[in-house]
Amino acid sequence: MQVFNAYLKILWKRKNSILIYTGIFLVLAFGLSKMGSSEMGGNFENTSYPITIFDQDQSEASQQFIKYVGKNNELKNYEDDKELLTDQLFARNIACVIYIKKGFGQELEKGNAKHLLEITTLPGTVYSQSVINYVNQYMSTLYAYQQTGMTLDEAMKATQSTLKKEAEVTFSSQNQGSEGSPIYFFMRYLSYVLVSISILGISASIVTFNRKEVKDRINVSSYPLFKRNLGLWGGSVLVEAGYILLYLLIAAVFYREGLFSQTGLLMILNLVCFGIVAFSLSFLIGMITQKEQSLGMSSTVASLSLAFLGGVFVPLSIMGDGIKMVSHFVPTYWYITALEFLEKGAYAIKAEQYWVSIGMQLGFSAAFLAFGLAVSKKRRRAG
Amino acid sequence: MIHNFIYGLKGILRERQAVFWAALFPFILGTLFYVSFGDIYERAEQYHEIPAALVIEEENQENQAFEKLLQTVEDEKGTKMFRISRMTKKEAEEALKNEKIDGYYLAGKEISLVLQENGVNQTILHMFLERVQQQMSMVKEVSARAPQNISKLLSAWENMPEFYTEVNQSQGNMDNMLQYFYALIAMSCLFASYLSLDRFSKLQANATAIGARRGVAPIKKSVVVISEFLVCLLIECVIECLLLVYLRNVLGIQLGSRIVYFIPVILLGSSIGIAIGILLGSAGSLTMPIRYGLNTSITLLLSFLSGLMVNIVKQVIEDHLPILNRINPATLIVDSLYSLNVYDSLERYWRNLGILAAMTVFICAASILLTRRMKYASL
Repeated sequence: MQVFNAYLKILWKRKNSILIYTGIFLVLAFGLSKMGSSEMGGNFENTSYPITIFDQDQSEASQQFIKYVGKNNELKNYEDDKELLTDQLFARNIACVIYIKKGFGQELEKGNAKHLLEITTLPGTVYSQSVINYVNQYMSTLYAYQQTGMTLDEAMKATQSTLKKEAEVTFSSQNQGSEGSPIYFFMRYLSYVLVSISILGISASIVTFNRKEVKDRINVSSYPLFKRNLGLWGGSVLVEAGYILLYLLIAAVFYREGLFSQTGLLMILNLVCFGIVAFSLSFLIGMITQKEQSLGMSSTVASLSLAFLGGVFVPLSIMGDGIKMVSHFVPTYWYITALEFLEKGAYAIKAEQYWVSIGMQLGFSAAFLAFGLAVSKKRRRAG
Repeated sequence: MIHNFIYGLKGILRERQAVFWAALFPFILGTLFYVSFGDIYERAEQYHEIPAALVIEEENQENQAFEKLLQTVEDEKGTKMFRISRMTKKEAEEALKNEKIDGYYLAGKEISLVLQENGVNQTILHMFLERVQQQMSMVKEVSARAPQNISKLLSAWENMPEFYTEVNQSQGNMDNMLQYFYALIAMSCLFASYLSLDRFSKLQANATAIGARRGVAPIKKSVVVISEFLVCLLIECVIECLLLVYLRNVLGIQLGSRIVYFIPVILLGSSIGIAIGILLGSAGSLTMPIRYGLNTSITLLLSFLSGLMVNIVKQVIEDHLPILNRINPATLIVDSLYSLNVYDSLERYWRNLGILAAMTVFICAASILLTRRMKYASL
């Protein structure tokens, strides 16, 4: 208990820095989770993109065009400023900018449909392909009807009627539900935050125990190495539990609905397992690191590396096959896999996949702890 | 000044751990970014043939024509739209489940589409089928209303004009994953604060014996600050240049063509990172753990706000609270590099550098004011 008590005293002395980290990372966790996209529907929906249309013609024909293209995409209003629009395109806030040229309606009345629109998009991308498909669909139907002798008004009415027809779509198996509830994003980014603050809080206290004068004093005493490590573990587990409880409390306040459900409880279990991973990793890093000054860097390296490789910031679905193979060796990957599995509602179909991910995380924890103990023993022998 | 500079340089190079992390970390993270999503623009955003299957349940003229159409249809640029395989229903279900295809067309009396999930490719498959069915409906309608105009309808489809002109707003690289690499360079510049924090906290007379010795030395504080600043700046600039060479030449990241203009960004970015470290190092009342804690927290928070972890953060802040982007040094660095890539004009670039320079001078001046005439009752 002596080491455990000493650990808590060190922790208490460091309370200010721990509070600073916790506060800043709380802001990060919240900010990151707000950046996540909103829930998608469970039935088939055409993927729509945000677009901006500038109507320089303001005719009935241009309004009908906007009505159709806008119905199938998300219309956004921006100022007609080149720099602003380029920034929005780069950030993927809009997929396309369409200018309806002046004289659009008049030219169509004459039966001329060439170059009536100006489109700025991301060339060669799926976004441009999708939006241009809508543009071509409308304009080609309208033009074709006009060529059969219809007036512009008749052609517009016929186009609206034709384009209302939808193709039949069925889903092959049980639709795996939505991906992207607020609690999902909160839990996802929490994995990065948890690793960071664990290292900064837990490892820093362990590094104090590894200072030469402290370590030598403990080594010459009759205090067994195992008891010392047990004391350190006990203190670290307490800290980790404190962090998890704090973030769960916040989740309970802001994401109550998502948290108190069967899926939410399984997410909590997943988080607790990942907390064990974070604690064991922090223990290992605390054992390896010699100077407290390097902990800031090592926490950043470890947390960002695990987060990027594990699919926290960049979804696993868009990572390459090669890197996904490497990701299997990272505990965050298994945490995110379990989380995505739960979010898709697939637990009811194949629960064992979830438990495999839990098992892998615990396996990683055991490995980190074992390695940390080995380092601790080696250091004691080295003196 | 030169004497201080030389010994400062020797001192900092002896702090192997601090220099090691400040130097190595950006390379590690850059490599991680590259392997994680370096080719996402090409792989996930650029349009490729969509893998799909066709299951023909009823052999008739319509379904055969549909099959031929699927195999030959191209987009405006002449790229084939689909990679179609003919399968049985069971095979198609299996392929869909294993994500070998994005969907399959079931051609019986009517043609329908079977999917597993929503997505871009699925939307294109759906829109294509919709288009074909709408055109068939148009033929039926024109046949019923004015059969003599069928040939005009078919002729119109064969001779479709180009309805739009495509205009590029920028000649630069529009891969928005570049945002991560710009944010990485910005964070790396801010990490210079670790070097300066280490150096300047040791200058405190109440912190180290060397600090006490230097405190009583007959040398102006401003000379000490400037020489330590220049030492940190030299080390950091070397690291940044190596990082730039690594990202551009080794990993092949297309950061932009005007690389020479990166140098002032690196210089000023590193300066402000160093200035932040000096300010924290000069705050005499704070303990070392708190100083390091604040340093880590501040650099990470600023990096997060510049889009290091989620690349859309910078734009979201620009849309809702643009003043924050004007005072966040990480975002100013990112924005300078971004504007070099995307815009021809350098107006925005120089504006950002101006703000960075002003912030650096302000922070350094505050640090000098904090450290000058510092007295200790006893040590």
